[in-house]
Amino acid sequence: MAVVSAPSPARPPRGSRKLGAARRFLGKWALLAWVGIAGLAGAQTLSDVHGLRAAMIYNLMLFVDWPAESLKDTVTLCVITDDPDVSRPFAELAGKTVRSKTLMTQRRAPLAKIDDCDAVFLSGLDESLLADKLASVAGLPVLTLASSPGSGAMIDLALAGERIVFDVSATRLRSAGLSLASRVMQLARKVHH
Amino acid sequence: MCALFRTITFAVLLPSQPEFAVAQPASRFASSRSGVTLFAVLCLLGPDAGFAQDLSSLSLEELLSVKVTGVSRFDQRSNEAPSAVTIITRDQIRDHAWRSLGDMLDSVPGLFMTTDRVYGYLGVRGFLQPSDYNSNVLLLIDGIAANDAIYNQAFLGNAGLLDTALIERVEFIPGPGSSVYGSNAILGVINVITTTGRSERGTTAELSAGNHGSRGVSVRHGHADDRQDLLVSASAWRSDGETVTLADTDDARFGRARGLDHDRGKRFMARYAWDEFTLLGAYSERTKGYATAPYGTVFGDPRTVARDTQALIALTHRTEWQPGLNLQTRASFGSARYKAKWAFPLPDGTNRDDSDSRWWGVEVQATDTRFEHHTLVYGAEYRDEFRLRQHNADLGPEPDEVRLDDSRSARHLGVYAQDEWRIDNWRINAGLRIDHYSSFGSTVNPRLGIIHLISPRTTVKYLFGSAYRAPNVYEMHYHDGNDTMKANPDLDPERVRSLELALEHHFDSDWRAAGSLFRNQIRKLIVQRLDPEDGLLAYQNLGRTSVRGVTLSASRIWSDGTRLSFSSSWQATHDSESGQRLTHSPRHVAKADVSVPLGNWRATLEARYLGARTTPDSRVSAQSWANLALVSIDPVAAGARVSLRVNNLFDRDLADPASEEFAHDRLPREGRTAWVTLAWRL
Repeated sequence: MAVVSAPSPARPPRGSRKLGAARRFLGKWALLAWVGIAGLAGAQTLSDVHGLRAAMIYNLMLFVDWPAESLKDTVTLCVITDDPDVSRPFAELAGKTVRSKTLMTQRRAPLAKIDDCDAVFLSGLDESLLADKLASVAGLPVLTLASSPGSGAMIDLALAGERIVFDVSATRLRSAGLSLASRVMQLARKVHH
Repeated sequence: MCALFRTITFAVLLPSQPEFAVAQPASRFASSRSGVTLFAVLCLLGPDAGFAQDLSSLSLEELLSVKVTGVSRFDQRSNEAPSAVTIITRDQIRDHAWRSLGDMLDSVPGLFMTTDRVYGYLGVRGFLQPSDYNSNVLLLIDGIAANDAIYNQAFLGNAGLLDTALIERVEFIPGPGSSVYGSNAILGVINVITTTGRSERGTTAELSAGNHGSRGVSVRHGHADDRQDLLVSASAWRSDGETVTLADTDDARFGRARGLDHDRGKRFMARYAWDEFTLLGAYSERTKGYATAPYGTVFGDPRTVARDTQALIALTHRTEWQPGLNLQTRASFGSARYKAKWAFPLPDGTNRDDSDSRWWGVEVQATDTRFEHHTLVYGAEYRDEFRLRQHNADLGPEPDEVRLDDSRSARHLGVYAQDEWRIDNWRINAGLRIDHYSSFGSTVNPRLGIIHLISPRTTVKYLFGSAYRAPNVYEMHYHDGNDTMKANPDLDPERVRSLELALEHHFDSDWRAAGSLFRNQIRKLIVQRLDPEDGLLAYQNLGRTSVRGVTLSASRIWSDGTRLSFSSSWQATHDSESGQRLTHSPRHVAKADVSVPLGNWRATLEARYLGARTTPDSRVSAQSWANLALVSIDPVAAGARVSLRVNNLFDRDLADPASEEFAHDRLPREGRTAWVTLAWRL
């Protein structure tokens, strides 16, 4: 690495007048495209999937019964994800009330422990990590929620068409000593017994 | 307008009839007229960030009836990024059987790779400074700056730090990135994310072979449970190299160079994650022969070789410090060494050119989502380049004649803040970074991105940014004993100002198109020039260059897994010093990739077109070529998965314009090169 050359001219320019015209054209084109596309596409909007899912999880927790001895002064909901977009709406749920106790929400890293949580929402995890995480709280009174059907969690929130639906595993809830109000069960897409 | 917009939107989204019957209406369960309530609530809702809070006061039944839109096969998070980001996934890396980072970047719209047969050079949107060692792009490995400390070189070819099998994802972020990342992010940022032990689970052994006496071996092992993740990898490869014919010169000394283009290397990598900590270590060593006789060395002399050695170690801790405030803290250490031996026509022996750089750094970064509608990212980093040594000596039977022995150190502190402000379907992304260098002082770089999410399918981005590249130690302090080159410690940073209008549209969940209009103005370009007063070469802040152009791309994914992508970019360059077109810059770059599943196989064909490029004295005409990859999904032979990659499938005569380091105007690229890999899961 001794000698380095510099960019230098090669051929005469092909008329700066043409370039100027092209620039003016591009400027107009860009503005036109923006306005045009904004007008055409303006009839739709973004829907906040993450916020919707967080609200559903909060709602579901209102109908869960934990064993009396397992809850302390607060109910801790752990959100296990790498994605701040997923966890962001949960931070806004902190301070609300669940089973007359204050809800605490914590985002934790995918490899953090979860056995001290009262509820965990596992999102965007690799299938095998999800299985490992669920195995680490098997038999404990920890409500497990995930966002992929067939994940092995107690409650799975899935996207069906354009709506979020949920499946419940009554078996897994029972083996952890938890229960979910039967009227919520009736709203589930599927209930596994 | 907002009210009207929301009205139209939610009228479209809401179901006319509630679809969930309520068995036992309870206090938390709304009546069947919930649609009306929901409509009213939604109309009153503020921007998206406030959604969750308001949504949580709705009943479960109401929530179940809200429609979600904009689900796509493509990773749509890039929509909101303040740049026209390209993401390369692990599946693509596997299907294309890419062998280097350069191979991957060559598929990105608007980029092109060139080679001097030793290093790979990246051209970005029509700009490529010959032999700048890619110091105009910032290479990040898991967020850690990996450009070396002497040349600021980003190693993209065979000298790269990582095997491609260890890469989970590559993001190319075009445009100035200094407002977040600091120096070198002039033309873009390459963000490489390593894979995990979990996705590798178990042991994989690979054997490879190819033409020109190429062979390689690699072993990697992954282990993971609910609290930890380990990945270790080791590999070694070598190639005897092609016979290189340098025929485009009248000089009789040049001709065919046999057995000089050899290349060999080894790499180690380990990554261990536990709880919130991640420890990453990587090492690579690469030795390359020169068939091209640079710097006036003797053609055909096998003693001319260069070796690059790099190491990187980093410990990162990520935690949510308090709700909505995520903290990342990192300590890192890096080292890069360069050892070259040049066979000059010296009476006694050879010349030796060495450099050795070592640095450590700490950084802390906070991602703060506590304020409604805002995501703030702020942080600081400190880097101590405690060893920066350049050495040059003539070797021989006599005591070495030392031409250069320069040792120094440098420190650098940077602080930055960036805010993403979400207002309805607008994103205002503003950032500012201040850096202080012990070598030349301070620099301030802003960035502004205005992103309009017109619909879940369409995004328009208007981007402005400035970036800089600190002059590197090589440019400031390298000389050869004032024989032909002298130092210039007074260099200023090179600067770029960039404007871009980008548009991204998803026709449906499988069909994506993007376009971008851009203008880059590079000032105080650091170039090497002859000083007429003493006849010595030195780096100076001289040039001023502007590049304007347009990039268009489209890609489609079919449900059977077939993928098609196409991109084309045109750029007009202007060098203000000469008033003429920039050398080494093609006006037009185009590429098309098609990848088709065929039972247990997947075939991928890459077509590439690179427009004509000039050098001060000659011209390399437009060229096109194709690459092919064929990979098996499941084991096929002897329990092994098979992958084949053929570069330059039709064995076209391809060339790149050479820099001033070489006696030639053009250097041939490799002819057809095939590489077969067998992989066993043990």
